[in-house]
Amino acid sequence: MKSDGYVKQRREAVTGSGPGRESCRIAPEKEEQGFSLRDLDRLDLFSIAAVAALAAVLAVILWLAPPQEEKGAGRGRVQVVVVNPELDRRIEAAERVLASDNPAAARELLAYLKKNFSYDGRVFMLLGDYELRMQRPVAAMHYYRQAVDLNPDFLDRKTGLFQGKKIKGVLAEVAGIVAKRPDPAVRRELLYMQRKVAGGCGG
Amino acid sequence: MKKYWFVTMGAVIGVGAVLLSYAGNPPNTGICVSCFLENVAGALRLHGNIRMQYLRPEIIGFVLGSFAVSLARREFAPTGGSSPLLRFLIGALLIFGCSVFIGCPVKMVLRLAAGDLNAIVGAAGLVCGIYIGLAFVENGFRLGESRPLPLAAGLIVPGFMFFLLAALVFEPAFIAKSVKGAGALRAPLVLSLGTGLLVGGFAQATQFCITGGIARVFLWGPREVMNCPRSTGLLISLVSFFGFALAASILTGQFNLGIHGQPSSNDSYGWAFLGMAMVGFGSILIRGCPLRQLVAAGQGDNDAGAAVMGMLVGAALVQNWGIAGNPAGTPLAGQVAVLAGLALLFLIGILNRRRGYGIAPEFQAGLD
Repeated sequence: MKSDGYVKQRREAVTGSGPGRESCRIAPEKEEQGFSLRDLDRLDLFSIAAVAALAAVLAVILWLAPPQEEKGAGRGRVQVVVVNPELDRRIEAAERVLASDNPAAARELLAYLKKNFSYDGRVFMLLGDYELRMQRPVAAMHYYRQAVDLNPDFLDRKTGLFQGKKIKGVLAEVAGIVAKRPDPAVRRELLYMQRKVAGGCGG
Repeated sequence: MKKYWFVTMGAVIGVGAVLLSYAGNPPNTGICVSCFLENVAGALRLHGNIRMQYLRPEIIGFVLGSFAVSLARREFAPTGGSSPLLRFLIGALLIFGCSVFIGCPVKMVLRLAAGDLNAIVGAAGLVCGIYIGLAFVENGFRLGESRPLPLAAGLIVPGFMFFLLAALVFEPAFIAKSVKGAGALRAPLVLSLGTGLLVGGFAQATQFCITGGIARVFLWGPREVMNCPRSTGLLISLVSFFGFALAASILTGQFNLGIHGQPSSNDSYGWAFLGMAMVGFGSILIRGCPLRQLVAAGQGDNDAGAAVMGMLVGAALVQNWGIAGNPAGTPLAGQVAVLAGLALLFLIGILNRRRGYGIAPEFQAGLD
């Protein structure tokens, strides 16, 4: 325990009422004098060093940043819904083929969709479903990631596209695989997807 | 003020926030001033993210609860004139820092209470930022003393909140409202508004402030904190907040101890640390965490009102500039915002010091 003397000293130090220091409250009105570099104290020097260090780190980060990164970084983008009847028809067809257990036809159709409609999350969701049917949960997770990145509605209960339960199941399977055979890249993607599924206050 | 009032303050915000999350607010986000201000900014169409648009009743409640209680306690005092534009700027920076960490100090405690160990990094950053901010305050940092203002000035922020409440109830066409995303995750209006009013009212009466509570430990030392009723009260509120939130999280099945798969988290620990350091630093310079700014604005403090408006603009910029942290990490814009923001706070600190002096009068008010 610190002594009462310490408390008194501390109080005097912070309020400036102690020896060698003037309090703003009780300070006599002093003429403001011009600023000179000699006035800089330790806190000033620490601050200047901190500003210089922060500026240096900022410069390095900006220098190292890939030019494309800025494009995808913003979360304030307005979502653009592309209405394409042809895509809708083909996605319906792919869903039917997948449901009828015809992997060869599904693979062909999905390859076409991926090549021509890679902007639509539903295509990647179907690719994930295909991989899941092929018993490849890691590949399925990879496609689900692309799907939810393109369209977060797949993880939103308030929308008709919600696929959260299925994706959660895949993540549990992949977690088991990663536990047996650690793979840093797969683990990174798994953790990202786990955080995505957990949700939060972000858009 | 009796100690049980401080315990009650912690209980109200802790249990209230967890219940809000249980009743529909985003996970671990029963109350988050920064996230909710992003929602409010979206609802006012200050940004275009359709998933982040909702006039959060909690924010309205904080201000109006404080307003009502300050009137009842005859503590409503329109004051201002203490570097309002500087406070506006720092208010915006606070929200930048919060968004990089993904949560304000209140949400940081809620995340910890829900078992999210990632938030420990944010807590360390907040404490570090508070320590740096105090170094400035103890060494002559000043914003200028505030002075009494006409009544109308003190009514601006509460009046704005009454307008938002009316807009929330009547939903005019110019107000946006998310139908999906985090903005669509909401507890029932009555519960949200009621909790906001209670939190605002109790926070006004007890002067609840997360950064203020922590700052007093550094300022007076542990021994003095135990002797100073207000310092003790603030710490009691903080411990009570965490304790009640923890208990409520466990009882409502929202407790999930761990690092991975936590809501509103990522593994950008360094940026989370720096983001919260910025929040701690800035909060000390303007005398209060984001929640405290809202509560103070409700009791007529125009300087806090300037900070609140800065926070609102900051919340819009967070979305427009893509600053906020997300499950993938901290985007480049967020990294730049944190580094530039911290540098700016240091510069503000250097330029607003009266060297050779102790704590400025505006910071001494209410210190004991």
